[in-house]
Amino acid sequence: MSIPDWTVLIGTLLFIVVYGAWKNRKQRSLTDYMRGSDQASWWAMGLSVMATQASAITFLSTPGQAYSDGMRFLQFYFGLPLAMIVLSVFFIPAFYRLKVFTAYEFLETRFGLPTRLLAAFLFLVQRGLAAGITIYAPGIILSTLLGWPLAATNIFIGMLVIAYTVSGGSAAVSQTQKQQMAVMMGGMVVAGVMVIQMLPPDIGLQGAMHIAGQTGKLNLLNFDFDLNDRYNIWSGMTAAFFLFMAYFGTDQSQVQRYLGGRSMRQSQMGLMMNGLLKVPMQFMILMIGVLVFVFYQFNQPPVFFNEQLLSQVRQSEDSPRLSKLEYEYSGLFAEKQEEIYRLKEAAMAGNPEAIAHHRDRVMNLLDQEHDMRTEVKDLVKNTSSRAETNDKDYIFMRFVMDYLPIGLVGLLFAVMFSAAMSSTSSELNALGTTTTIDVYKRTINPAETEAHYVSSTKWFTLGWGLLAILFAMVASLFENLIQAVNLLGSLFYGSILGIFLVAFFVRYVGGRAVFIAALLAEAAVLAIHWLNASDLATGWLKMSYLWYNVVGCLLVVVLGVVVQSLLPKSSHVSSE
Amino acid sequence: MNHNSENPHRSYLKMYVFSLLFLAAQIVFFYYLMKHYT
Repeated sequence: MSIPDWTVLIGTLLFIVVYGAWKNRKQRSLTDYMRGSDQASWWAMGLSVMATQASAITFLSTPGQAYSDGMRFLQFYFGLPLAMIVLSVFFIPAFYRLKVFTAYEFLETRFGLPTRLLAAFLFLVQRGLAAGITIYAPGIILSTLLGWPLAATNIFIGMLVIAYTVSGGSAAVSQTQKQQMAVMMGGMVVAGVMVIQMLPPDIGLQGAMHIAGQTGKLNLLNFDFDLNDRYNIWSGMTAAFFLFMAYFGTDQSQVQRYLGGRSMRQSQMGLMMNGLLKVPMQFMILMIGVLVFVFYQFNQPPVFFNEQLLSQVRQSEDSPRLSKLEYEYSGLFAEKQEEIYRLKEAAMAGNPEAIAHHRDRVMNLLDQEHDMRTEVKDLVKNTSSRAETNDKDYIFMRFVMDYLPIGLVGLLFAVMFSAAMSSTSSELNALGTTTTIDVYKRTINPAETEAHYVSSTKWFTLGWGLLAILFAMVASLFENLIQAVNLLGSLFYGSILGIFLVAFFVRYVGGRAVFIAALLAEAAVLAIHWLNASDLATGWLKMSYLWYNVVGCLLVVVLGVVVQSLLPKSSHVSSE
Repeated sequence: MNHNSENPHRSYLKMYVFSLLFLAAQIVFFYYLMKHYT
């Protein structure tokens, strides 16, 4: 990167961090520190909720996913607006009525302490590990692209986040997220405009859309119902709806973002803003990926997008084989480019026979290109058996580094770092808060001053931050662990959501019954996952992990009622 | 009826209905894009 790019990157990040920490340096009460003095407006909360969900992986991976797989991922988000309505109607009023600091506090008033502690414990374990991955996942990509050591990148991201999250608490997190969202959205819009402008003049946006459509990239809707496929409209509307209810309604890293509103109405509007803007935002990011795909039909892409691994192959004994593949790849590119032009002409003229003919040719050439890339990936694997051969996370930033003008490269890196920081800060803020409110203050040391709890929350936040950095540093040693952490959310979310739904809708079920039901449901979800992971699942038990959210949730509700009816009459009275 | 005296439940309802209609409109738009360019 050039000096102006470094200036833009470092300047943007430092401004956000220093301003956020300085502006919110005086936090005296728990309400100040954990809910930002209850002063947040609806749009600030809406931005904060969106910034928390938008991690660096959202911006790094999503365009690459559209590049290789089309836009079908968008359907995953269709359940989100529906989930926002349910949360606004049922969850937010309950949280506001009790003026809670954490979602799990609410559970004690309805079911007693054990259920609250169970939910808080599951959150701390899952989110504590996930915070490490939130730093590690972009860290490994950004360190490769910038040529930094991985450890230094992890420490850089982690320490910047710790600086303002510890000192300024929830208000600092929300404050910085406003600016981070502005950088993220601004950077992506500029990147989108640039890629459209860089398309050949005789192609333009209209031609690009035809090429994208004919090559299967505009696969926006799939109406076929399949439990094993995450990306169809039914999975999006149902399974993802449960996932989003669990994530936004029971995960403290999200709940804390909208608990500090000026009024309940403001919090509800903040969530609804998220519901309105999320699908268009994902559409934009995916569309940028599709446009980058079209751009690379007229500008030869690298045969493998992770330049660092490719140069390792160049220095290995496989170098001649790589050179031969790259030569063939260039020949194929030229042939494909001509065919793409013909396909675009046929599509714009609306000639079905010519479209079918040229589309078959183009798809055949794309298949050949895919095969060549697979061969290159084999060479990468030969050189380093531990190397990650999936290069889709590098596609977008490789494009940015190779083609965007000076200044914008730095801005797009600022987008990625901002996204990593915005998610991590919410996580650390929530981990510190839950540790203090649900564990330390509730069970260990209940009779201290507000100042003491503010100070302990700062120490807990710092501890979780350091733990996240440490986990990010060792994550690369345990590849299976990373996959396990990514899965952890889906394994536990269903049961936790079930507990909350029973609390709201099934008054008959008390604390002991729901606790037993949650443990049974969790055991069932783990069993179903084990069957699917070992390829032993058959029939309706064969499902994508997204459906675990539905199964876990419904099992808690049904088993809660069953267990309650089996318990002696005296335990029918809830602890409320 | 002026804005201030509007039943708050009705304005909440309007917000939720608008959100659903917006989602439906987007899905129709995506369907159009998919059909038109494929």
